[in-house]
Amino acid sequence: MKFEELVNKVINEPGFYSQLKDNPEKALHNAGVKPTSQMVKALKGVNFDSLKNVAHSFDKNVGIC
Amino acid sequence: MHDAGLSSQVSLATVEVLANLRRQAPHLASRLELWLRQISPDGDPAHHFTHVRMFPILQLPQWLAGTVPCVSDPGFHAAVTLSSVCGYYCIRLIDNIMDGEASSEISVLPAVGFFCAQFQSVYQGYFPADHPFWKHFHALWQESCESAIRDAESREIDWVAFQRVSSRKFCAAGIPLVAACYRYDRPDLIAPWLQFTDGLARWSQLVDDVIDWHTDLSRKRATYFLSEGARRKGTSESLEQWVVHEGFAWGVETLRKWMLDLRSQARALGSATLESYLEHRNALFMQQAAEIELGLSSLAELALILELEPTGVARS
Repeated sequence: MKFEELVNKVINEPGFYSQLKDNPEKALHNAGVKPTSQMVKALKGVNFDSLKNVAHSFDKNVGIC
Repeated sequence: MHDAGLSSQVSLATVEVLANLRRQAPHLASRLELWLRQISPDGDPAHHFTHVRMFPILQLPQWLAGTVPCVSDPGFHAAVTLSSVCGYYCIRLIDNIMDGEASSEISVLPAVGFFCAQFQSVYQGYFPADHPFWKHFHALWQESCESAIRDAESREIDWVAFQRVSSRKFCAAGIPLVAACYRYDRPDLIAPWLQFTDGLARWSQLVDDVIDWHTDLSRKRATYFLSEGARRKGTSESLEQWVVHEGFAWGVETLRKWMLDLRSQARALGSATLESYLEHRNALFMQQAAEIELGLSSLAELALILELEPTGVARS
């Protein structure tokens, strides 16, 4: 997975960060990333709620004015 | 920042627009009603114009009138509100079609004629054909049309193009302001209020660029923010990396500086209501920006964990 794909997934696929939070091994595997124990441990420290805010802000505000 | 008087005026104006349309063009009316609901944030056309991210086209003439010691003319403001609602829909319809993603807009394209006529005819009741108002009207309206075409054709937007084209898409908002200046016999206020409106348009356009950057990038729309990113990013850096690591923060800082200048201009214009609008609008944007910055920081952290970029690339 490339950086751009990660950004796209976070913004357009709410299921991705939800799964990354609840079942990181499966989410990483589905995204084509081979999960390591280090990654899974580090993911527990990520603020997933703030990612949700980013997705909401960048995806829902188009074309008002 | 709720303005009950304005909300009620907007509701009356949207009801009148739809009633006129049903009477004059019933077949078009049913299609157009659907489109008006589609482009409204919550499906209610009246709420569209009081939405926090909406450019304050309806409020500006009223804020101007508030600085002039005169007998208020509610009939004039109601008429101007109706005109501006139609002018906005006319421009929005054209803009959506120019953006090239307008499947629903194509089917209501003939409504441009209806909106344009409604927009202009209100002023014919206030200003005779030889009144100097019309010189401003035509100049601002034509510039708005020219900017819409130039902006749609732009592949890269630098600072000069942003000032001359992108942010000038809002310049038709100056028409009701000029009308208010003449209505209250204060043509001396035209220049400073148009200058302020230009500055607010630049701020609003950059807010749109910064918040909608991912949609713009996906749809290959040129914006000043993305063009600036292409100029500022590292050679091996993608635009997404630039936005996450520093671009968003650059946009917010630029907007913060522009807002300081706008607030100083608002003080000079003598409108306390305008100052309070800017304070409220800026606070809401800064709150949203802070939440996004926190999320972008988490995104950068996630990229590092997933080893999507070398350690040390993330700068947040």
